[in-house]
Amino acid sequence: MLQNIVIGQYVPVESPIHRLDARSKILAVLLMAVVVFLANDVMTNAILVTFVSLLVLLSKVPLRFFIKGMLPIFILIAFTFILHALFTNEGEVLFTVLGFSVYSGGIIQGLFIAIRIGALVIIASLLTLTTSPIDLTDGFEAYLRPFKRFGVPSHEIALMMAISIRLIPTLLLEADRILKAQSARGADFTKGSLKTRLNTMTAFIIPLFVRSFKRAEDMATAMDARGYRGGEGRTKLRILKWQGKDTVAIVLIVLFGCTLGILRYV
Amino acid sequence: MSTIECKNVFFKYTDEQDWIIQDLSITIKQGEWVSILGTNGSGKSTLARLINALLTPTSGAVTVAGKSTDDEGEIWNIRQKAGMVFQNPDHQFVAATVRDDIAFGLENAGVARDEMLKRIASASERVGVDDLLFAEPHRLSGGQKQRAAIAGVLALQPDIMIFDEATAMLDPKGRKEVMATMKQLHERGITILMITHELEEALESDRVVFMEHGKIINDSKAEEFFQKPEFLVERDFHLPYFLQVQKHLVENGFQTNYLLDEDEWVKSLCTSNSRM
Ligand SMILES: Nc1ncnc2c1ncn2[C@@H]1O[C@H](COP(=O)(O)OP(=O)(O)O)[C@@H](O)[C@H]1O
Ligand SMILES: [Mg+2]
Repeated sequence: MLQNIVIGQYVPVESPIHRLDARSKILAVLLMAVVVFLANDVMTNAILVTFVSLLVLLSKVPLRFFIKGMLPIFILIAFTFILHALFTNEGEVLFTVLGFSVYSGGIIQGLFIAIRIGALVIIASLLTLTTSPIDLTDGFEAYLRPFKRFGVPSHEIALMMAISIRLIPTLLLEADRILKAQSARGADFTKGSLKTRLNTMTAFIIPLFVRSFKRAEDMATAMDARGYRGGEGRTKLRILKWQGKDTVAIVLIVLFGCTLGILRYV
Repeated sequence: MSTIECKNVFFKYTDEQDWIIQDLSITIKQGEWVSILGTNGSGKSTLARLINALLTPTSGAVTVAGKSTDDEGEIWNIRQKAGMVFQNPDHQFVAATVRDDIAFGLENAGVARDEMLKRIASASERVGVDDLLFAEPHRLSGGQKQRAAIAGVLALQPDIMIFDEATAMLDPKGRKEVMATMKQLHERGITILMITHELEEALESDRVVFMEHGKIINDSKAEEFFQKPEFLVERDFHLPYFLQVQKHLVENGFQTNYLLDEDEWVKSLCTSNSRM
């Protein structure tokens, strides 16, 4: 079963967005986080929706992955939408619920907010869906590196992230094995009072922890044996390559931001 | 060329402990294939860690190629010269793919990227993981993971490779793969230090060191060592079947000494004109 798991959310398909450097994609997400808030009327929001839809199409990632990413924050979107719908008193009254008059302006404002949040989430998902966790780690490390002189352990953070990512499948495999072993001994994680269930959970968690500590110790020894001595003087196999298309991507985002800005303020 | 030399080494992890290694002396020359046998807790892993400077002796001296493991400035050099492969394949795979994992040691050593690519290519080819370079660890068999670990050490161009029960967690197929790799490394002149519980594996080596309570109680050529299998039987080791049979033959006077190559032994049986 674990043969096919994909770590993180990465969807390994070929697309122009996949081929971009992790750094340009991270920068693009940060820029978009600002740009999104420039949309404030029907026109700019329509442009925003079109632009984000184009990006999604360009990424060649199946739509269901984006929907999956939207689900957890769907409540938040719905909540802000309702809040705006109820408390904005602009335009004409459409109907009344629970003593609140709902204005057309409220509905529109709520929609705009929902679009912004949705766009942000989709943009962020685009980053994780089109960039492998390791590239993402390298990208973050590149941005953290300048802060090293202020004591930010950029290399250590990146290595920690990389090892955690590498260990996810191992941990899942082990969890699965312990679960089966405990079930074979008659443990049932779905029955009984809260107390007995907690007890069964303990029988699951403790071995998982014990093994993890043992592994951490072994791995530290193995790293020492292979000459690990921190980030100082270390070279890297993986290199990030900023290419022409990365510059083009950033320029496009900036141009898009300028367009929205002009439409909004002029 | 790297000779390993331990001189009157004593070691304990904590002050309260008894000596884990006591008054141990041994010299291992470049190119030897040494098996280290011994019961659990006899100090085999500790000895291995003393040799590649993961531990330093409480008293006495360990030198590799003339450099003492006590010398702070030489530690990294020694660890590179004496690479180590551990028991659990999953606990020594650091990076996301085979290629990144082989690179890990090279990155630590500050090897330039071009050189790194060359060394990854040649090391992976030598142990036969060149078609798995982009595979993630959870898609590999135990034997493949161990071979990737060997490639990671090999890329650092060591003179010595220490295997601490590196086959113990593998299935028979994985064991065979790793043993074949060791044989090939030995042929290329790399010193092999192999800690094992498997007598079949020890039979492949040139020299057998047997440890008990932190001391070496036997150090001899493999052919000599296996001439007295009682030594092993007394210590609850399980003799390979063909040696068990030979033991009976020797005890009953049908055979004078033990043959360690199974095929050779069978041949000699078939051609002998004794009363059997
Ligand atoms: N990190 C440690 N701290 C304290 N004692 C240890 C440590 N590692 C091993 N020992 C002790 O040292 C002895 C020898 O261990 P080890 O060298 O691992 O034996 P072997 O590999 O032959 O089974 C054991 O009694 C063990 O309990
Ligand atoms: Mg051991």
